Amino acid sequence: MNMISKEPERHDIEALLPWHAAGTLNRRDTDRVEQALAGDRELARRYDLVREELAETIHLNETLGAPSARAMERLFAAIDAEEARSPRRRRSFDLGGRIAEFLSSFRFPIPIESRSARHYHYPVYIRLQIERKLQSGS
Amino acid sequence: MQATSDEVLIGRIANGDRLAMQVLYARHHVRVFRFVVRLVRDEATAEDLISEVFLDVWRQAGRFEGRSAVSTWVLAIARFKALSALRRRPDEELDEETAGAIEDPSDDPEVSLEKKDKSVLIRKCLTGLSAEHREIIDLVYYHEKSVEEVALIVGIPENTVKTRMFYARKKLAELLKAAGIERGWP
Repeated sequence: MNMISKEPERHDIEALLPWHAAGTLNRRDTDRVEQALAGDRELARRYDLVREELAETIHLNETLGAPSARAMERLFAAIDAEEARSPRRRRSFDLGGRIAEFLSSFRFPIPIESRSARHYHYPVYIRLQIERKLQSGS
Repeated sequence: MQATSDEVLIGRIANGDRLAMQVLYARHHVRVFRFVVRLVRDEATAEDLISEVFLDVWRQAGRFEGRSAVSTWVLAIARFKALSALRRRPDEELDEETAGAIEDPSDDPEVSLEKKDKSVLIRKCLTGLSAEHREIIDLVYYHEKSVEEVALIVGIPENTVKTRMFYARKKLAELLKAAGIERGWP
């Protein structure tokens, strides 16, 4: 097996291993890491350490429990109190919101390779533009 | 049937929809609680903060622009609240916490038994990391945040995210080594 010849390149790849293990790399970096792992036993061994850390971090967090129902009760009591003081203005016909909901029922292809890019939902963007126009009256 | 997206829920919340708020809360409150409790190390404080975090979501929903995932935005609010709460704590309490965090695991009489269980020891060492290192490890491994998302939540450049993660893992390896587990890295 061929090790990655250039140490800086290995360092770059190694820095990405935690995100590779968590499945949050973009396609390009995923390919880079997988290619490197296939040809470098030491890197693959280090990747096993990362996966071990990942598993134990999840285990640790899963033992942390959850907040009691009181937290939710407190939240909605605060919301109710706030609404009683100054009710927020509701739109009688939220066209922008309805268009956004309609569009969000479709699955759009991920526009660029970054995973986080899928969070830049077109519907929200479109909705915001429409809402701004509605508010400005243009 | 496809669940309503977080972004659509935020749009409804901006219009004062309490049900949408309940759905968003149900979807995210456990993870946000765990993120906060790992930072403040106190369940009662974390529970109080959760209510404040989601109250901010209710108040600010109309200003959410969709530049990041809703969960990333909520975690950023939670982080801000947690750090503010930590700053309000008396110094003595902080000192005690810091001392606990840097305690040598080998000093603990239970450790010799735990050495038989590597998993337990790794988890123990994970809790011994500094708040900064715990935070980044949790965001990457448990909250499944990308480099870009961690940078947004923590408010640091993407390269610093990678460097901080590297040093968090290095520190973890050192703690494990001190506890008798040699991993051959770094």
